[in-house]
Amino acid sequence: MRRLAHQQGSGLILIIGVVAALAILGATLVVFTNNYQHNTYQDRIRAKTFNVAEAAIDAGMGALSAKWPTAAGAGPDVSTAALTAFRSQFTPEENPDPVVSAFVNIEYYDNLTPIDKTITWDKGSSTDPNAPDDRMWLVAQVGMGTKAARIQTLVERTYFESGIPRGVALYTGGNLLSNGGGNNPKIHIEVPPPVGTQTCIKVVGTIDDPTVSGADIVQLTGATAGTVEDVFPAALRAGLTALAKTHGRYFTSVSAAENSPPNGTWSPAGGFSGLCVIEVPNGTSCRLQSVYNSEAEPGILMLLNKNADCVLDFGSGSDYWGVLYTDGWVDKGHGSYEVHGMVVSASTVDIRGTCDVSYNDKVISRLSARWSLNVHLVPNTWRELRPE
Amino acid sequence: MMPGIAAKKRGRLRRQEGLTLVEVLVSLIVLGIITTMIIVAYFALNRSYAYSVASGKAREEARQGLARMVREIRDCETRLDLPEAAIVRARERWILLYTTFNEEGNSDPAMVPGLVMFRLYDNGQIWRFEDIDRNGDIANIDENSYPVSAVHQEAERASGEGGRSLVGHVVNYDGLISPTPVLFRYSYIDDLGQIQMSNEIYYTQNRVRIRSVQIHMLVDLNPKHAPVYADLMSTAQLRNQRSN
Repeated sequence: MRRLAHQQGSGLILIIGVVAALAILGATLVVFTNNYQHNTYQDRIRAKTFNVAEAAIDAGMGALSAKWPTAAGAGPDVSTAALTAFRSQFTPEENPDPVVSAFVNIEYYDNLTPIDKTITWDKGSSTDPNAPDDRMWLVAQVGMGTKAARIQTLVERTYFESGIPRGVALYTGGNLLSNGGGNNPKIHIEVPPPVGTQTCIKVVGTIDDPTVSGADIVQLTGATAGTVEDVFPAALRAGLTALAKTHGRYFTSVSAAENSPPNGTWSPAGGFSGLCVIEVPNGTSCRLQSVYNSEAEPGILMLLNKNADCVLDFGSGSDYWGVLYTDGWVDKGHGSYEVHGMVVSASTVDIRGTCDVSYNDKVISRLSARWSLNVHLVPNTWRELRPE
Repeated sequence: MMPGIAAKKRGRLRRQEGLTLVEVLVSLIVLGIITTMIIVAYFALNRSYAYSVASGKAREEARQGLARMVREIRDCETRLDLPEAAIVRARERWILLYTTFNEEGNSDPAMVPGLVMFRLYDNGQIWRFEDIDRNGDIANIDENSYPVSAVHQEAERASGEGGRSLVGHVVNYDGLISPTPVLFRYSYIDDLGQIQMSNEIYYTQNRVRIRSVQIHMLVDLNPKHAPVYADLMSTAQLRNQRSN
């Protein structure tokens, strides 16, 4: 003890000093490392914020595809409550809530000049405030942590392009029967096709009474009538069938189709209205006995059977506005019935009695812009904006 | 001296204990080793610290620069009043494009996009230039060719309109790596509708077919020392060429 008490030196102090310096350096290094980790985290958040904002644009396009705002209040719901479902797709651990504002905000408004964000329906265009042009501005903003991304783009809705040829009032792959006891002509022109296009009927077989159509309608028979592929091709039938399946307008029984509920533009009045595709068993008959569609909103009814063993039957006095297609044959009416548009049958068409086919070019042309499929980005309108 | 005192003194000297020469030498050697270790550790840590800070900053700068280029390139858009593509020059060391990115009030569709250029110089710096006065030209910049001499390059950096350094220590063209990583590569749609890649695309009718731009930066995180590379790569898809 005595010897220890006499010890002298500065080694301990020196070592403590060096260790302290090392500790400070080490701690600073840890701080820097953490700082870079934080920066990396912020980078990831920024990238995720932008990606989610693009996802929000996609979600907005999906919502507008399902419900294009043709009138005030008729557009899709993008309120906070509606966006909760969108938020639920992103875990809070990986996609934290923002410090301020909402996680996601989607808004849409018309592309008027100048822009009026209160006009949230397709009221006009950039050149005419009262002429809808199927275009809307879509803006999405997403916030995460301290980061935010805001994207603006113009979107445009596209339509199913029917490609149905103009001027064909009737096509039949078999014979056309029409000896209706003095009721001819039964095939008329209600609205003519564009100038230069001749209205015609195409009959692969024979026409039992040439007076069946008006004098201004050309009758093409035999090989000159062509095939059903010229008028209502398989690709169109397949496309319409796929579209009907997508939107709940495909049926396997006549009763299911007849009793189907309204479905927006796809079937404004339910039943056989709008787009209706029925694939039926052999020997099935489908009778039309109400008014379906209108000149402003025409429809397409397809009655399909692989064996061409089905019948489209005209019932009591009513009207069908649009295009009727059947793999089978068309039966004579059980009362007066008028088709405003076009009739296509892969087999015989029997319009004996008091039914009429009135070619209506407005109906045929409107079928090309009848059903919107989806909305897409208008090129050269995408911008990343400063978040608000 | 009294006999008693002398005897006492002799006895005390005999009782004194000390370190032998060997002990002192061993102590010195051990202390020397420890001191050397401490000093070496200190300098190593100091160097490591300095490197961490410098490389961290370099990495951060490179990442930010890359992110900025990606965001501006993907945002580029065509000026509808001019017969020109959204990307006006598509070369491997520089790109010139129209964009409204980060402009105040660019939510107004009528805002006309301005020219922005990113160019990599021989000194390893990527610079960003901008047509600030919106006169359709970036002043004091040769848009069509790369200034060969260091003097001309320096002049561009000094007087190019809206010029500022974006990233430093980019070593793509230092000749240290083979093959040379190209800074900008362009994917475009060819006549057959196939996606192709090219380092440079000439003529407007070809540039309108560009669909995305790949950016590949090789950054030296430890300049003036043994090189430590950060290899950063990203692709900017031109959003305004999309329709879905």
